[in-house]
Amino acid sequence: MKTLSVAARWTMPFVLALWSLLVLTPMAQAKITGTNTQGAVDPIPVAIAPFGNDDVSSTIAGVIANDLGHSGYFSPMDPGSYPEQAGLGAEPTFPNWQQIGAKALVVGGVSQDGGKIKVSFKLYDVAAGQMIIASDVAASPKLARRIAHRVADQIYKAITGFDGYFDTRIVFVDETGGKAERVKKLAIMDQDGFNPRVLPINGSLLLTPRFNPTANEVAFMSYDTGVPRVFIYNIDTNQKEIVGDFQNMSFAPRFSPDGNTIIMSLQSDDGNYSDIIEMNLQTRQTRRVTQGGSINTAPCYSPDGGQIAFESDRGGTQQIYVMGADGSNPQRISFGQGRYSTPVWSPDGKWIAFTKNNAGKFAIGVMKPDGSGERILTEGFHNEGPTWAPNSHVVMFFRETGGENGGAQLFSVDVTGYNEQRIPTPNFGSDPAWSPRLN
Amino acid sequence: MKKGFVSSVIFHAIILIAVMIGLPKVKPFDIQPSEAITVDITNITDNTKLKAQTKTPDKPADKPAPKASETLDKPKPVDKVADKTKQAAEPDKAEPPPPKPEPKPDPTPPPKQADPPPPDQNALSDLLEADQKAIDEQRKQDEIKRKAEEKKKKAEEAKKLAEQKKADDAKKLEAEKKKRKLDMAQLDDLLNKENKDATQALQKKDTAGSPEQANQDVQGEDAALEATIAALVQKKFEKCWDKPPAAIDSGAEVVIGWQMDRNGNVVGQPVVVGGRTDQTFYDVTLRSAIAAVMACQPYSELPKDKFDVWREFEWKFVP
Repeated sequence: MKTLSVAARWTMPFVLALWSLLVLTPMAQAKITGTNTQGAVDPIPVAIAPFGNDDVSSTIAGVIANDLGHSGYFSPMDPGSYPEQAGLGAEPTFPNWQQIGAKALVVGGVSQDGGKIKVSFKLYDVAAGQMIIASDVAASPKLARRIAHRVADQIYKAITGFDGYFDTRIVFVDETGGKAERVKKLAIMDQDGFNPRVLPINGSLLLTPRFNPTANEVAFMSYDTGVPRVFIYNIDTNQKEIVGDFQNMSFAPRFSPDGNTIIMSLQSDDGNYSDIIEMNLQTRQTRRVTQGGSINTAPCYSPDGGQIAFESDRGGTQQIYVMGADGSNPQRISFGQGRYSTPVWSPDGKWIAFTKNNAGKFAIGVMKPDGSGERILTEGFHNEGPTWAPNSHVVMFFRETGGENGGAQLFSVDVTGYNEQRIPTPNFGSDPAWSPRLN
Repeated sequence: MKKGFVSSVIFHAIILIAVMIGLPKVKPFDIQPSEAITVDITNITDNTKLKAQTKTPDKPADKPAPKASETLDKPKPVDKVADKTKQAAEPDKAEPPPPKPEPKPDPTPPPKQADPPPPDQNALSDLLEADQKAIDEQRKQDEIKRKAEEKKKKAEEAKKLAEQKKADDAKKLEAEKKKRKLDMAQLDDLLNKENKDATQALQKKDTAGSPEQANQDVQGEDAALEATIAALVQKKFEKCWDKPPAAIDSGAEVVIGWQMDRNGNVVGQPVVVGGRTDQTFYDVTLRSAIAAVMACQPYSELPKDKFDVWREFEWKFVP
């Protein structure tokens, strides 16, 4: 009996151990864990199924595909490769779409809704087999393209995280004629280059157009009035008005974020210097922000209106400075090689875009408002005049080509420096200004 | 029937008497080792229990092997063993082997007094005879004396020897006693050694061969395998995961979990396990992460025979 007991006592721990191994191990089943900070940056293959057989439906689907494709983050697929007819009625057969390599699928339809057209659409994540968004957009039939831009905005935001910028416009300088007698008029178009039209403003040398952030207005400078002056033009009413009655040249206008104030440069009496002045558009009162002795120009408000970025040669060369909106505490922020000009604050306040002239080349770059993090987005013979898309992610500028037949063209580039795209214009185009998101 | 019963009673009585008379001397020897083993067993078992307790599977990692030996090395169980051993050894002390009777020297017989010579009948001859007799007597006396001294010497030597022997015997006895004690101590040592061996065996089993260690070994192998699988999956995600551009370096992060089937397909959909929901781009990051996990299917590169290792995943995506 004792012998048995001894054996049992010796065996017991092992039995227990074995039991615990068998019973407890599955409970303590480990997970494979990990972290990914690296991923793909390739354009996402997106299939945009036909929204219908009529012209409007085709146009809408085409505009969406074009917007997404030009953004650089999507690669619209050839409709000829689509494996099935997909619509709003039934859920797509995802394996079929996976088979052709689609990662996102847009289906939609166009219907009449009173005097408007209504576009309904759904965006699917093909890999996950899940719907991401479903939405309707309705508007007048003549705004079919804008409806499509709105749809594209939603798709773009759902996938990239950025706010859409497709339903916006560009005002720019339309250049015609030979190089010696170039005619420069103001023109406006959709951000994708469609619907361009020259604004009916008299004059042949109209420059530096800038959108009012809160109204359908454009400020610009005209050389056609003897002394070059700043004007404001209302796009809806075709009304033009002069901003201030100054004896000296005024130029480089920019609206404040609230649209109530305009800031610009005013040449000194001797013509050697310029100062920045501010005008209240309601009271028409002006205030000098900088105090002479150097060329201070190209002012731009910060998005909160509390600061002004501008260029100045007060340090000997043309550089970018930031000061309080009242002119206090000006600080130089550009310290790289070369000259810096045309500072433009991004709508989100994180960046200041600029033109940099160094070693015979003109570059478009961005830096943080404190001057750190300078990054060149594009560089070449002559790049100039950056303007921000309302999502603060895309910068448009113009590029001048040399030679007798050379001229200016518009381009856009991501703030990362990728996805440079030419924006089509009917003629040469320069000095673009991006509108806020349209209402 | 009666006859048989009576004879059986008589027979048993005889056996009982024979046992009572004949076996008492044997009894201590029977009991001695048996009790000692009992002590051994008790202590080994106790110690084993202790060891088993220290290695209870509930907290295998909390109690490293040295603690188990510490438990065994605690004086208490050893004292227990020693105490019990001591108790078991006491009967020996009570009945030491009968000492040899002290060797007593043989009593030396008193020297015999010479008988007086008879009176001389012839004077010269008598004188000569008397002288001769005297000489002889003297010789006899010397001889006797010498013999007596020799005897005495021998007796003293014998006594010395006896004393020596007695002392030796006493020493022997003491040594025997000591030896017995030593034996018991050795037994203790042996027990302890066995206990230690048992501990070491268990400890050894903790480090090689035991189910626990086997488990640990497997876990070690699994850990390596897990790392390999994680690296492989991470590589796949680098291609499958379309990072939401707006979320890059934004502080957004999501953690999702999912299960696999044996063919390397995701069972159902990944679910949210954690992440920074307060971040602006959390939603778009989560969507992209789920899409990445689903887009990477099937995970056919994973070894099917190790399915238990990779049946469950938990992954963090930081754009």
